[in-house]
Amino acid sequence: MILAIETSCDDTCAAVVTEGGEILANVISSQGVHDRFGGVVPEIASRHHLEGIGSVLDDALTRAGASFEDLDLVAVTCGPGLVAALLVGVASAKAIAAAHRLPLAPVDHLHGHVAATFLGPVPLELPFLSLIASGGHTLLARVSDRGPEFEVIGQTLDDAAGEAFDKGARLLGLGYPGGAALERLALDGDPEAFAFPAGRGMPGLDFSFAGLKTALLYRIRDLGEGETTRRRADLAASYQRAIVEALALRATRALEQTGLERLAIGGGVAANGVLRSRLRELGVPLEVPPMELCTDNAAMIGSAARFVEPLSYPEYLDLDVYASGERRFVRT
Amino acid sequence: MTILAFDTATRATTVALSTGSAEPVERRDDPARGERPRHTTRLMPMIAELLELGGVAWEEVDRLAVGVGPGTFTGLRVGVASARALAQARGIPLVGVPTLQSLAVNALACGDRAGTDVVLTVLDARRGEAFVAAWRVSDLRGTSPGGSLSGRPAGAPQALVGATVAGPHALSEIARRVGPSTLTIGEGAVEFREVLEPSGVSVPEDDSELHRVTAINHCRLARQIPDGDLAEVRPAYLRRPDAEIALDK
Amino acid sequence: MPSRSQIGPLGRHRTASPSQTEALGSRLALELSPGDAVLLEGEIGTGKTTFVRGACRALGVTTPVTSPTFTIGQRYPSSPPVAHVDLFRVEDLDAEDPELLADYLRPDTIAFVEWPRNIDALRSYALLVARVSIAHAGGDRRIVSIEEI
Repeated sequence: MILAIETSCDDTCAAVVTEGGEILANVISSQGVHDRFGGVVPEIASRHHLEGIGSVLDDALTRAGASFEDLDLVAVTCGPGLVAALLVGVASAKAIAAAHRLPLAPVDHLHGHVAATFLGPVPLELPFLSLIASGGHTLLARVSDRGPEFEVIGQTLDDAAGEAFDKGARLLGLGYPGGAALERLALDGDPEAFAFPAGRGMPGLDFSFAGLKTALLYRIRDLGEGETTRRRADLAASYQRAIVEALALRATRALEQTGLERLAIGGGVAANGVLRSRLRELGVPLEVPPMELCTDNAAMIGSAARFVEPLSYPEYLDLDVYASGERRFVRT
Repeated sequence: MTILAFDTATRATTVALSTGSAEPVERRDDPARGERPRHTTRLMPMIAELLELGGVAWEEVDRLAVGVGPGTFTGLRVGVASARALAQARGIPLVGVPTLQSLAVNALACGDRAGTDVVLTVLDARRGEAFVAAWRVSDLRGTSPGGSLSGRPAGAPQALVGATVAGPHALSEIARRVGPSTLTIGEGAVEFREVLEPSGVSVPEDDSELHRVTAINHCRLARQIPDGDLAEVRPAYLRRPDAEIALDK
Repeated sequence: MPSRSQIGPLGRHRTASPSQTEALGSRLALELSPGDAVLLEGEIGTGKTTFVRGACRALGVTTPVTSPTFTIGQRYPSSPPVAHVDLFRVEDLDAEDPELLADYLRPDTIAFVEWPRNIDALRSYALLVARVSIAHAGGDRRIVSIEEI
C-alpha cells in the first residue's frame, strides 16, 4: 500500500492507493479561505496545510482501513508549487517514512496529473497525448510509458490556462477562484458575441494566453462600465470559448503531428464542462478522469509513485522541495 | 526516559537525544552569516544520526519535544510538521517547547553569574523587530538539571515578560523595565546590542554559546510539560498574516 | 545602499509591438549586475512578462519565460542566474515569511519583480536599481517608463 501526500498549492491531500492502482482513500481538504483574498496567499496556505495535514492523514488511513504498519511506500509531491506549502507535505512524508524505515518516492506534481489517468480499472492504453491545464501549468505531452520522463511537446509561453481564467474573472469583477465562476456566468452568455483571439495565427503546439487577457481588458474599456455589466455573460462566454479553442486547437495539431490516437486531460481546467465537450468532438478516445482526480489530489501522486524509482532509507532524509524549473530528485 | 528533541525556530537546526540520566547528546547545524537555514535538509539526517549513535530504536523513544518558536515561519513549520508526523506514525507523546524558554535555560548553565536576577531572551524576528520574553532566574531554577524538580508543579514557570514581538523602541523599554541585573541572550540580543546595552542590560560577547538555542534544554523542559493532542502542538507565530488582519478591519 | 550612477535606457519609450517591448527589456538587462533588482509596474495585460522575457533572452535564458504568478517566482539557471518574481497574490510582503523570496532575490542573481507593492520590504533583499512602468497606449502599443530608484 502507498500513502501519498500532496500540499503544493492550497489543497491539503492524502491518499492510500495500491500497487495495482486501486484508490483505497482519497482525502482532499480544500482551504477555501483564499477566496476572500482573491488568490492563494502563500503564508496562509502554509499555515492551513500544517493545521490540516494530521487529520487528513488520519482520515485517509481510516478510510483505507489501514495503519502505518501496513504501508509499503510513502509518496510526496516535491514540486513544482509554493515552497512553504510543499515543505509541510515533504517534512511529514519524510518523518512518516523514516519512522517506519519505509522507502519514499519523490513525485513531480505534473507527473501526478498525467498519472491520474493510470488509476482505475481500465487505464488508458499507451501511448497517448496528455493535455494538462491548471492554474499553474499548461502543457501537452506524449506519454509513451508511465514514468516521470514523459515528453513535453507543447507548453505555455506566458500564462497558464487556469491563470487566464482567474485573471479574466478578475477583470470581469468575479471572485476567486475564477474558473468556476466564469464558467457559471458564461452559461447565460453568447460565446460568439465577441471575437477574442484563440491564437490560430500562432503556429506550433505552444500556448499563449497573455494577448487574450489584454484583448478582454480592451474590450471592457471600449464597452464602458454600464455596457460591460450588461454584457458580462457574453464577455465571459466569449472569453471562455477563446481559451477552450486555444487548448483544443493545439490538442488537434498535436494529435495530427504525433499520430497519437488517444487523448487524456488533467488539471483543474479539465473540470471545465465546455472544454470537455469540445475535446470529445476531436474524434479520438478521450480519457477524462473524475473531477476529484483532475484537480489537485494525492491519489494521482500515489499513482505516479508506482512508476518512480523510490529512494530507500536513509537516502531521502535530506530531500528538498523545488518551486519550479527542472525536476530535481537528486539530493542537495 | 528517552527524549528526542529538536528546534528549527532560528537559523540553526538543533537536535538532542536524552537517554536515562546521561547528559543529552546534541547534533546541530549553524549556517554561516549570509547562508540560508538548512532545516529541511539537515533535520531528519541529524535525527537519524543521533538515534543510531545512541543505539535507540523508535520503539524506545518515550517522548518527542519540538521547539514551537517564535521564530521563522518556514522553519517552525518544518519542525512542527516533522514532529507531529513522527509522533503520529509511532504513537509517541509530543510536547511543544517554547523556544524562548529553552533559550532562557542557558542562563542557568553559566552558574551563579553575580547579580543576575532576570534573563531576557531575544530572537531576531526580521524586519527590524525581535521576539522577546523574560524570566526571573529563580523561577527558572526548577528547570535546571541540578535544581529540584520534585517540589514544583508541572508546567512552565511564570514569565516576567510573555513572548511578544518588539521593535527597537519597545525592546529598549522592556530592557529598562527588567532592570540592570538582567542577562540578555539570543541571536537577537547580538543583533540589537546597540539598543539593549544603553538600556542597562548586559549582553555576552557575540560568539558566546549563551546565545544559541539548543535542543539539550528542550530535553530538560520536555519532562515538565504535559503532553496532549498532537494538533495542539502548533507554532507560536506571534504574527498573523496581514492579509487576514486587513480583512478583519 | 549605493545607487548605480547610470543605467541604460532611462526615460519614456513608446513601443509598437511585444517584440519592441522585449528589445527594450534586453537593453536594460545588459546594464545590470548580479544582486540588482528591477521592479515592474502596470496593470494586467500590459506586458510586464514580455519585458522580462526580453531581458532574460539578453541574459542567456533560452527556455520559455512564463508567468511566475503561481509559484511566486521562477529561477533561470543562466550565468548570471535570473529570477522572475510575481507578487500579484502577495498583498503585503511584510506578512510573509522572509524566506519566501530567499530563492529569488540573492546577491548572485539578477531579479525582476512584478507587482512590487511594498518597496521598502524589498530593499532588504536586493539592490533596487530601476522601476519600469508599462501603460497601454492602444492595441499593441505601450508606453514604457524606466526610472532609477
